[in-house]
Amino acid sequence: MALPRNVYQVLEGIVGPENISDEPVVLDTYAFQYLAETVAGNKFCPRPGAVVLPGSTEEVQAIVKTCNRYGVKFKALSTGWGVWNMVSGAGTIQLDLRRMNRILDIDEKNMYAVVEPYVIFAQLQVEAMKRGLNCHIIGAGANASPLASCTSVSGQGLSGISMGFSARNPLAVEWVLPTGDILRLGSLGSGAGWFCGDGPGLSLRGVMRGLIGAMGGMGVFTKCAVKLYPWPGPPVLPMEGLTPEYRTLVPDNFRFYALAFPSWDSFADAAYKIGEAEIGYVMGRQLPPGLVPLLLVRSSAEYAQIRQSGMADEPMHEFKHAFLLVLAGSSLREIEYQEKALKEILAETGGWIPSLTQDPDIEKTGFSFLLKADRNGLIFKLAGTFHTSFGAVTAWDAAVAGAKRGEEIKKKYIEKGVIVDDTADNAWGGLYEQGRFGHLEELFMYDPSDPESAKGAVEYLAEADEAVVQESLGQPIGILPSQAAVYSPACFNYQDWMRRIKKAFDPNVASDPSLYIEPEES
Amino acid sequence: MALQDYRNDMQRCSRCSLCKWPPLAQIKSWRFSNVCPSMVWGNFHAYSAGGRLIAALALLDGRIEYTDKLVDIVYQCQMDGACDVSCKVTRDLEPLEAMLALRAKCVEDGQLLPAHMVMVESLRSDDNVLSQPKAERGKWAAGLDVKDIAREKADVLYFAGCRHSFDQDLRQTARGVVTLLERAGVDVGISGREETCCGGRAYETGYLGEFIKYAEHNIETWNGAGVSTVVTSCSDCYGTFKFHYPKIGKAMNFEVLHITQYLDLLIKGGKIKPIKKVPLQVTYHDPCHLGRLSEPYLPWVGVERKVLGQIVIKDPPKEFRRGTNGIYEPPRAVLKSIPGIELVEMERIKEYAWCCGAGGGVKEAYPDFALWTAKERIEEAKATGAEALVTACPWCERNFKDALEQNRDKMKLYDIVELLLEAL
Amino acid sequence: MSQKEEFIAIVGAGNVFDDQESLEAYSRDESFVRQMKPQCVARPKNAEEVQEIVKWANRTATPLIPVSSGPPRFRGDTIPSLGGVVVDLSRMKRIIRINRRNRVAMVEPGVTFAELQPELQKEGLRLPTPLRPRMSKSVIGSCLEREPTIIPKYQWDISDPLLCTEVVFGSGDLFRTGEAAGPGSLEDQWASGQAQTNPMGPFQIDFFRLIQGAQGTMGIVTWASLRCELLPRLQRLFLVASQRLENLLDFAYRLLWARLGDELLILNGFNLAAILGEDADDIKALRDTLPPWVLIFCVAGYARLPQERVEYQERDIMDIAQRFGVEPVTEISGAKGRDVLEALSKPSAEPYWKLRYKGGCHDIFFLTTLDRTPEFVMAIYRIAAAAGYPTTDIGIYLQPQIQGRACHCEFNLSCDPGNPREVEKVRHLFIDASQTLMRMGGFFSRPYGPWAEMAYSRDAQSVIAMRKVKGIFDPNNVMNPSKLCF
Repeated sequence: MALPRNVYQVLEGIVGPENISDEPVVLDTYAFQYLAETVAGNKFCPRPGAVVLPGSTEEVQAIVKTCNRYGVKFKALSTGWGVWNMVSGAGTIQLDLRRMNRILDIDEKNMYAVVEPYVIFAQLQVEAMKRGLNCHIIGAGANASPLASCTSVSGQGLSGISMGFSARNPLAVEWVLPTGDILRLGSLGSGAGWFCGDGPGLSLRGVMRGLIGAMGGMGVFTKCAVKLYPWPGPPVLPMEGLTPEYRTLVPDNFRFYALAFPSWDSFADAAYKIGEAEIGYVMGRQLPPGLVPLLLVRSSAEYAQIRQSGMADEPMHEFKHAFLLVLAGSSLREIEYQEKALKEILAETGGWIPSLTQDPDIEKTGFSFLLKADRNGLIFKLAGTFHTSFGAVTAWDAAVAGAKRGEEIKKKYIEKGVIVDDTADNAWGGLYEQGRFGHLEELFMYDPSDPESAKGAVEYLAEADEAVVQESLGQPIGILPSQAAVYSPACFNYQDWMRRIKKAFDPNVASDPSLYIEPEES
Repeated sequence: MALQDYRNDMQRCSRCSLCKWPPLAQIKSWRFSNVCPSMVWGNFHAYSAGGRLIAALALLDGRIEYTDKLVDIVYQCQMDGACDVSCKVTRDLEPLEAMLALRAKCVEDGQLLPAHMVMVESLRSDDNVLSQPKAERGKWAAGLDVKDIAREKADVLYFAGCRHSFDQDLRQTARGVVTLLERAGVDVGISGREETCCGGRAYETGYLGEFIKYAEHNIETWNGAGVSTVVTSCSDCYGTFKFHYPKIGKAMNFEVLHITQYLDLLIKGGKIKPIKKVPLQVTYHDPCHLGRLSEPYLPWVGVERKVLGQIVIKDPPKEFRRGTNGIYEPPRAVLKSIPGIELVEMERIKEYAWCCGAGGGVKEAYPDFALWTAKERIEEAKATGAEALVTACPWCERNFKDALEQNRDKMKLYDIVELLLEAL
Repeated sequence: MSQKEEFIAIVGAGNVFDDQESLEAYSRDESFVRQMKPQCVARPKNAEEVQEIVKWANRTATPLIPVSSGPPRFRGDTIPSLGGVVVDLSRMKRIIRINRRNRVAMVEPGVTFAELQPELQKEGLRLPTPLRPRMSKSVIGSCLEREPTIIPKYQWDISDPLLCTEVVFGSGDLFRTGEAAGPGSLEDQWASGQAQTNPMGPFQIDFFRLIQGAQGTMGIVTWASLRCELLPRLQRLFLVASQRLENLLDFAYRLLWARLGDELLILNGFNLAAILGEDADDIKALRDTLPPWVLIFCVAGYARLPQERVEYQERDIMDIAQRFGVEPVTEISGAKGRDVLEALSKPSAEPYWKLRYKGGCHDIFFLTTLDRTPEFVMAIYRIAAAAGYPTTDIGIYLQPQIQGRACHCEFNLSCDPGNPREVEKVRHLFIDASQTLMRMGGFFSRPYGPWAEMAYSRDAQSVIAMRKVKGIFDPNNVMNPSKLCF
């Protein structure tokens, strides 16, 4: 059922005719999504009833109130990358927050920025760096939205070792609730500023999100104070080269390493020691064995050739238990200390620096890549898309256990030919908050234009979920509603509580529940 | 290739929005962090390259039909290719080629914009895109002592292009080119009245038939004239010769250079000596068609195969044009060779430069959008502190000029050729 | 069975107290909150008993007031507003697990800092503590209250060091928050390498944030895992004296930015005297010797290259100090660094340090940012002077939090509890000052006693939302009713 005409007109009155559309061509560009084939069986999820572009919190509020009044559902997105942005049915309107794209403030002393939804990490980072600050960037890359990551989605990223996890990076938040009321969290609600998102009393950040967010099911977040972190590098990182080989010099007070270890055990031990030594700036397993050849070649054909010829075997083997590490010292003394500590750790764990990454160009490329998170999209190159599994945010040892299990289960699907043969070990992730927890998600690549491949992906995911539950491997990354049903009974029926929260905060079920929870159990 | 040949690319778009931004490592500020004028203007995702890939898929699948909105989305884009560069930092897709194919399909299916129809009519009647009489085409060279290659043999053909031929405000650049080349001792000739459009704008707006006509005619003419080199002062034309002409499969028995490339060679070879001081702080705008879009065409015919399970490879292997091999350094070298010139760079340059706003049929069909795009670029130029904006394309220059005039903006604007002449 | 008999059957007669002395002890505390006796006090020994108590309370509509710490208590949050049963968890004293590898400890609510720290030390760990907690202070109690800890670099989120919890909600349902929720039992999780170090979730709700800061109005926590840190091998404590608070701030901000130093806090002369002094005379004498303001920071080395770490940090800090025109020293007149370190590293001996000056103390505290603290200091001086309260008796404690993004600002107003006129004066001062500081933008994120009405009247939407949460997790309002906005 399409959006009723009278509702369309009310919305048009709020945002202006140029900022709303129910043209099928426009609607389809929101229905099409990354990973849609795992949910909808093809590239198109349901079409929204209209797409609306609000320009302010007041307009968002008016839209949400309109939806409540007329019994229409809504779902907000910013950059809109991923099937969790989809609307659940026809007649649901999609709020595209594209026009709300400003960095409202950067408080240099108190190290936070206030951003609107369509600011992307790349923008925030360059503005922060000018002021000696940086921001955590998620694994999706610097083209994702910090507000969306902090308020609504997940938050894994290799800068986590020194810059946390997105769920722990928001301070105060401005939030248009599903009813259209505006809730301001923490200090903001008390008129005291942006520096704290919790209180008075209990913290409503707990309702906003948990390990993962409501993914559009609990209203619209219109402003967010995001924590910034120290950046002891130059105000501008000069990039040399032409596309796609951008790289920057490693400044004197930074180091880049690839570190390889003889076993999973020593790999895990080394990570723990690095966390305890408090020396990591960016860290993680960015190059699981399956992706190592991409350091050497450019195209899929070359990748296949170097794999099939056996030429990649040695570097892939060397990187079997390896992670990348950037050190950053706020002084030359500090970086020297960090280097010394790292040397000891390598000696204690039998680790070494692979010769491949000792090449100065590769060093510069690796450093740039880790700092800027600008080329994370390479994971799409080989087959057209990728998906993920396991990846609980947990003790590093448990993350490693999950990685091993993921590798085992993937082998079956590689043998079936439905996913890319990436040697089965494609676990990506790293430490958070100097090793207080970590994550390793088992990536796998498949062809979204091939129904057999897409089907294979879904089957693998189901088997992965079963293993996670049976073997207590934590709460995995980015689950979709079909998976949630498996986890709730194993986790104190948390969905029962979610349902009650949903009912209380969204009595008219206006905020699209499809990636959060339906208020009534089906 | 036809639109359906890009179907797999459409399905493999991950909707990551990289096509909206410069390559992420090259973003230097929030203010100048967009690279797609169409998206900043249109806001809906449909106005991005990714959005158009989705629209194309929806059209092929019969999910949507032609509407004014669809045609608007298809054509409200300068086809500047910045999206293509950004996408290809990590992906092996062809967003720009797919969008060109989408336009060709629109034209094939009779979905025509009136402004473009006017342009095509002008081509058909007068061999130019500016609705000017063909008889007037050679008038820019009046009084210049230069060979006509229809009558005399010359080593180098100077191709002025429609804009430099007919735009009264800009024809001094064309005259300047002839002056410079002759002073350098180059054996140069022109086609004058007999010159026709390069066909580039027709190609970009989906009129393949018109394009092929001009491509064939020009290649035949120049092969027949026995010129060793074709040099042009128009970046649009240059990009057309390098990127699109090879697609028709006709041997081109001559080298193609842009005037800035040629001048760079002549300066380095001591044939041109810039000695007079031109004290000016300038910033240089990379024309899209001289930069990323001029990267030579790489022919590929083949199939997709799958290896190692689901890895998609092209067989035979396909090399991708990613914007790496555009003409970026020669114009800069020419500027730097002029004593007194201080070059400061904008934030969005080279393969990720912001478009001037004129290309892809936008100047014709969406003049406000074209001017807005130019103004955005002018703001960026001003932010460098430079006194003057310099470019190497008459379409860029015209659009900047119009924008400056509309804003009563006094910022100086030059073509490189003009500045070099001042230094002699 | 009568209700009372039912209740006694849950914990055993020996663990229920309704004698006058016991009821008196829980009916009041050091705050201005009105005295109110409970019906009785129960001391359960495990989560099963706690859950039965909560279910019983739902059946009988009896308020429950959870208490973990021993006296003297200060916040008024454990005084029953409407009678009911005090659930004293101090019998639950198990240290369930200490895991060195993952730097985490799991404890029951009755465990105090004094009890936990020595056990952690055996494993080479420590827990960042608040400023000189009292001997009887419960670790879980402190963490649930979001009490500021003195090592800002270890506080990534204002909820730290609290991680996972096991909780009985007011509804009587047992739940585990964070990754402890599952899949699998704790033993299963330990077997796969987990250690309950991730507080988030399960999945789309941070349940623990609904309990933390709730003053016992959502449920009763029966264990919690806590983020621990490495025990230093080497520590060097520095003091930076200043006549003006403003002169210390940029230096402090730079240390926070560079993540230099562990313990980092600012005390005024009175409070430094109070944490060092043994009695009132001692405190007075020290206060008269000490400078008006002291920034305290400690440089530490841990198991790895401790000497090198301390050396580079010290040298870097001295460079920074020079830039900002301050001089860190290991000793100032009236305070030696090692004595201050000693004071910071151990809970307060009896009598609790805040009570030594006059026998009583009322704390005003709120969150702000460090750069705004001088304005608030000026304000309290002005208000105190107008109220006839000696400004030289005001203790001031500034604690950077969330690695420097917020600052706990605390004013301690000593008071002789045996002098009714003085008490009344301080009470008025307390209310006046709180209102003014709140109007100035002090964020009273922990709204105890009279602050609750003040804070919630400024934020109606939060009240509406919190009442929804309350209605879900404690539908019969048995958990500490009339606290917060309930």
